Formats: sequence, structure tokens, C-alpha cells
Amino acid sequence: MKKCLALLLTLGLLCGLLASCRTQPPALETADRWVDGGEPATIKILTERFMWSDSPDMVLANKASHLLGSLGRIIDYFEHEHPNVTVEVEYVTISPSTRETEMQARRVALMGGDVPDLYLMPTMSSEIFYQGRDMENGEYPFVFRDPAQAMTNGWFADVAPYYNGDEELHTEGLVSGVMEAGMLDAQRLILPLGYDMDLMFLDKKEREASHLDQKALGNYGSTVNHVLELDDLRWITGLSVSGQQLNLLPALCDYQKEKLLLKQEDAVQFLKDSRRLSDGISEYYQDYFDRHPDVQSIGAPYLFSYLGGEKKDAFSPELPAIGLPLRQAVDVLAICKAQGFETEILPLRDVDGKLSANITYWGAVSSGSKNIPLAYEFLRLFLTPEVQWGGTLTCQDGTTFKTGFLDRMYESEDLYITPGWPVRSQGAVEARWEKIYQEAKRYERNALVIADKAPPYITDLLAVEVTEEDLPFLAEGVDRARFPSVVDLWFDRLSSTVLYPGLEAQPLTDQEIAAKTEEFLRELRYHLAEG
Amino acid sequence: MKKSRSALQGWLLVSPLLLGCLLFYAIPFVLVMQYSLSTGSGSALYFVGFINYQDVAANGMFTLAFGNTMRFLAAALPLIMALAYAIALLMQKQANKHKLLKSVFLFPYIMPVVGAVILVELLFAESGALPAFASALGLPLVDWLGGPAAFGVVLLLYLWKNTGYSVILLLAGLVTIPEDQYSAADLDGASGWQKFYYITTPQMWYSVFFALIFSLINAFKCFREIFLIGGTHPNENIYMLQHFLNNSFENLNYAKLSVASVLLLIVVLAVFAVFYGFVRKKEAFRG
Repeated sequence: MKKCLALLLTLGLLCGLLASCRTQPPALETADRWVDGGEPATIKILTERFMWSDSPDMVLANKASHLLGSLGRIIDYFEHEHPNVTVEVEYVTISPSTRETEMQARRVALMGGDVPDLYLMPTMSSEIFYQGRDMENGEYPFVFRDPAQAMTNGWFADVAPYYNGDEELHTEGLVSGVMEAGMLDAQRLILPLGYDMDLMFLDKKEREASHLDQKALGNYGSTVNHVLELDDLRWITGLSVSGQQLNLLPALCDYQKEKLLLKQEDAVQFLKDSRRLSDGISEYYQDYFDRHPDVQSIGAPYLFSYLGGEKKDAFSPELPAIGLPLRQAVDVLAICKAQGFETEILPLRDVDGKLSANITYWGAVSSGSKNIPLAYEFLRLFLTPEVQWGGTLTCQDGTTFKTGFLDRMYESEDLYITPGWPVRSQGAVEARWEKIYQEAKRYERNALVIADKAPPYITDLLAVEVTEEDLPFLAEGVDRARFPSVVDLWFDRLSSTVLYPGLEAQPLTDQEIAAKTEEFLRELRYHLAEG
Repeated sequence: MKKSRSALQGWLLVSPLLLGCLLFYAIPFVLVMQYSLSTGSGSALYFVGFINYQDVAANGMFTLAFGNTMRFLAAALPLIMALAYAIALLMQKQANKHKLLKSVFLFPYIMPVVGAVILVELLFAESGALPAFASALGLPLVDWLGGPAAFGVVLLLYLWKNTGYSVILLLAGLVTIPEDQYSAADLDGASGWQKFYYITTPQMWYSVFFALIFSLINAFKCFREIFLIGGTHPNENIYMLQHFLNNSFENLNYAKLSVASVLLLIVVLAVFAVFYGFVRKKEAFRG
């Protein structure tokens, strides 16, 4: 009797298990986009308050919210265009003290099946990265600690059929090297929405008079060697990179095969080169500030400050190069031109000489979404020129919604566009320049109200033009792009130990660097195996 | 009629427990089994057969964690049972006279986890008492918490913390053995070993089994101390299955999490079944 009962229970369990599982439907080449049939529908979005917005600490300090910014107006547009659709937004608290607990609860909910339709997420890039570094536990927890790894775990739906058939989106205008980062085999699981990379801005006149050879800047190692071997160190100022360095290394790992690709010797060599570079930068700047005690700050001129009248030359004979991210390129180039500088702009290439980028924002449809076509319909808006470059979304009834960022800090809501460079790179330079031009015209109008003529720095700016030809490397595209993740924080800890051992401590020896690198690789192996 | 009414009353009495077990154990267990055979999220779970099991079995970190856990159980359980049994036998005659002694054995068990970890750090950390002592004697320095010796430290911590609890369980069984059986054995000229083998052991199987199960449960609870000592990725020798499960959860890989849980359950059930079958055969249990 007991054996019979046990057998029946086991059979029941197996039947229940197998009956509740479905086989995956076959992948389609293309699929029709969502058509609004008038039936009520809801899109649930899981996002961050600093999505499509400023850094977390700024959002927290200003009590700002992405809903006040661009994302809110995109939602307003969609709901106005489709009155039967409701967009619900959920985000985890931005407060560092409670975020960890809330994040755990959210992960449990996700594991339990309470998944949204859409994920709209920033990565651990730029300001958000630095936020993570300041956190007590050393990590600013995200829902997905590693988006590239999450792609292999079945969290996201394949939107390739919709994307491939979406002729209106003009996907040929998107940077293919960046968009490919969101693909796994033939599936398109994540849509990158913004990216960034480090650039070197060089004063062309000074460069031609110097021994700096562009051909020697073919990869990271040769760039560092060449700049340090020159007679003067001043070109080192062009290599003050953003701090995120993993995109300068070869591919780290194969997430599908859970295999570590990065070799210890490559990482060690990279760290040694970075240390030499960091020491050179410190030495040069120390010497510069000793010779110029009146100088308060150096670095790239800031567009808003320039428009406000700050007199700061982009270049000087002692500072003939600037290192800055791609997202600031058009702004700084406009100032350089207005100040009469001829500029050469070179991307900082990785150790293999490739153009590699960090993705700043991404969106993905959840694999558990009950209405994938509708979710894709909303997500695709982020790839349109109106949203990528900041513009106006127009409904069929003529109602318009601006997609520029609205922030109380800035007077103009049009000028501050998506942090990160748009993946719709074709046309982005001209779109950005148009905004700068219009903003400069606004400043001119304001100035003419109180004076006979506008200040010369405004008229100088209005007299120049920035086009895609000024950034020729954009035509090359991107060789590879990656999603910054928790791994970047671990590497940052490692590189900080190597580059900045502390005032009292001795620099690490080669053996110590190798040992610490091995610890990092060990963490990476664990990360691959456990994710 | 009376029998069926009695049975109904019995079912009613256990129904809250059964309902709780169903809601909080059975249904989640079925869900875990489902997740282990699927991919996807939310309502879009797709059956993929045993691919997840193949992937986990080929996962180096899982095999490391699994191996360490089994190694820990293989070392800890016999040791704790032997130690607890020995202490319980020594205390058998004194147990009723010195009730405070039993309480003292429970102190390590009830000590907060953080307290135990602080104690371990004070003793075994780089700046701890033991390395300082070893250094003073000119002995080579050992990385007690970050090297292969960490396994021994964790084992020691487990034994220190949980032996007392097993002593109490075994002592509870020992005191139920009638004293006159030992007296009769003395009259027959039985030696101490003979008394232990023919009188004590047959009547202690159930208590031993009970103590073993609790020691097994406590062995898995040891993860809390290991986590506080070594973090999410401790030394390879103390990287346990719970680390793998915990970290897989952080990385939202519930397929791996589910598979690892199921495999662990199978092993624990196998150990339980073997020992339970063995105990059932023993005369004292039948009696």
C-alpha cells in the first residue's frame, strides 16, 4: 500500500513537472510589429531613477527623477498615442542605505516570476561607476550585475524578428559594432541605447611641430610607450582617461562557454603600462601646478561654462592634448574651433588596436513578458532619432512631446541629451551641433537685450560649424562593445592598488602585481561559473 | 466508526502542518524541479530537459563546491558523532547529578554567529593569537583563514560549536537505558566494551540517528561562519555549495541554483536513506 502510494506520488510529481513545461517556439526570421487594436494593455517597466538621466548622487541630491526627465515624456507620448495602453514604471530605491535590501527583494520577486515587460537600465558606466566605487560595500547593486551574462540565462526575449522587419527604424544608422553586443548567436536580446569611448584631442599645430607620431598610437601599449618616450611629457595630458579601463583589454570571457579569455600576462602588462602612464601624468601635472600656482583647474572646457563666459583655453603649449569621452566630443570640438584651434581627434585604441566601447544604457524585453510585440514597440522609441538626439515626438493628432532632458540645474532643456553617445551615430554630430548652435543663438539673443552686441565668444561659436567630417573615426564604427558590470568594479579595485598604492606605501613589485591579477582572474572565474 | 472518527480527528490535527508543508516545502520543491529543467523567466519557462544538469555537472566551481561540501560532511559527521558519543558516555553517570554541566555544553551552540567569527579571527587571523604564538616560537607562518588550513579551522569551529548539542541528544538517549541491565551485565562479568556493544549500542541507534540528522543540518548552517570569515569567494578549500547557491542567486541564475539544490537534496536523501535503512534493521529500533 505504502509502495503503491509512493509510486503514485512520484508519477504525479513527474507528470506535474513535465506538463507544466513548454517547448520553446521556433525562432522567426521576421515578425509583424504590434498593432493597436484598441484593447487595453499595460507595459510594466523596471528601470532606475537615473536611467536616461544624471548620476545617482545628483538625482538623489536634487530629488530628481527620470520621470521628470526625458523618460517621463516618452511615456507620455506613448500613452497619448495609444490611450488604451498604460505604462507602469517601477524602480528600486536610489538611497544607498536601503538599496541592497530592496534589490534582494526585487531579485527574489524576479526569480518567483514577477517579471516586468521591459528592462531599461543604465550600466556601471561613468558617473554610476564612480558611485559604486564610493559605496561602503564597494558595489552599487544593480538588478543585473552583468547584463552580458544575464543574456545567457534566458532573462530576455529575442526581438530580432521585430527588429529585422522594422524598416521604419532605419537600423542601418545604428552602430553595428555596438548593437552586436546585445546579440547571442542569432538572437537579439538587448538593444544598446548609448555608448562611450575615450578620445584624445590634440592641438594640431603643436602636434605637427612635435615628434608625436600618430602612427605610433595604434594600440594602448604603443601609445603609452610612445608618449612616455618623447622628449617632453606634455602629450600625456591626452591620456587622462575616464577610469573605466576594461574596454581597453581584449575580450574578458566567453559567457556561453563560461570560459575565461583574458590571459594573466596581458592583464599584468596592461596594469604596468597604466602605472607608467599614471606616474607620468602625476609627475607632469605636479610640475605644471608648481610652475602655475594660480591655475585652479585644468581639463576640457565645459560648454555651459563657456557659454557663461568662462575664459578657459582648450589648449595651451603646455597642455596641447585633452583626454575626454566621446559624449563630450562635439561640445569641446565646438569650443576648440571657436577659439581658433585646429584639432585632431583620435580614439584611444585597446591593446589589440581595436576601437572598443562601453555601453552606457540598454533596454531589453523580458522573456516573461506577455506582450512582447507591445514591449518592443515602446522600446524601439529609444532608438529613434527624436529620442537618441533629443527632439520632439509628434503624435498623429499633432501633439508634441519633447525628449530633451529637463533638469532644474540647467536653463535649457534642449542642450543636455542622453548621457553617452547615441547608438544612432549617423547624423548625431550634426544633431548635437544644431542644439549647440541654437543654444548659442539663445545666449546671443539674451545678450543683445542688455548690450549692443553679443560677447565675442558667442559670435565666435556661431561662426564655426561641427560636422561628422571632424570626427572621421566615427565612420570606422566600433569593433566591439561591452556592458560594464560588477567586473569593472573589481578591476578598478585591482588597478587602484597598482596605480595608487598610497602615500606611504611602496609601489607593488611585478610579483605582487601578478598575484593581485591572479586574484582578479579568480574572482572572474567564480563570476563565470556562478552566473 | 470510532476508528474512522479517530482517524479524521488525527487528520484534522495534522492538517495545519500538512498545509504548511505543502505551501512552503512541497510546492516550492516542485517549482525548483521545474526551474531546473527549464530556461526563461516568468510565465515563459521552456522545457530544456537535462541540459542545465549537464552544464552544472561540467561546471568546475560547482564540482569544487560539491566536493568541498562532501569532504566536510565526510570529516565532520564521524568526528562529531565520535566526540559527542564519547563525552556523553563519560557524562552518563553524572548527568542527573550535575544538571548545569549539560547547559555549559550548549553555550557554544547558542553563541551568536558573529561572536564565533570574532573568536576565530582573534585566534587565527594574520594578527591573531596563534600566528603570534607561532612566530614567537620561530615556527613557519600559516595562513589559517586564507589558505588550505582554512578547512581545518572551519572543521574545528563546527566541532566546537555543535558537539555540545549532539552530546545533549545522545545523553537523552543514554539516560533512558535501564540501569539494571548494566547491573545484570556486571553480575555476569561483562567488560566495559561488552556492556557498550551489547547493551548501550543496540538501544542508542535511534538517538544516534537523530543526533546525526541534526549534525547534518548544523553542518550546512556552518556556511554563515564561513561566509563571514571568507566572504562570497573564500579560499578554494572552504568554498561550499551554499556559496555557489548564494552567488548564483545574486547573479539571477536560478537554473543553476535549482540544479545545485536538487543535486544536493539527492545526496542528502541518499545519505539519509542509507542510514535510516541501517537503523531500522537494528533490534532496538524495532523494539
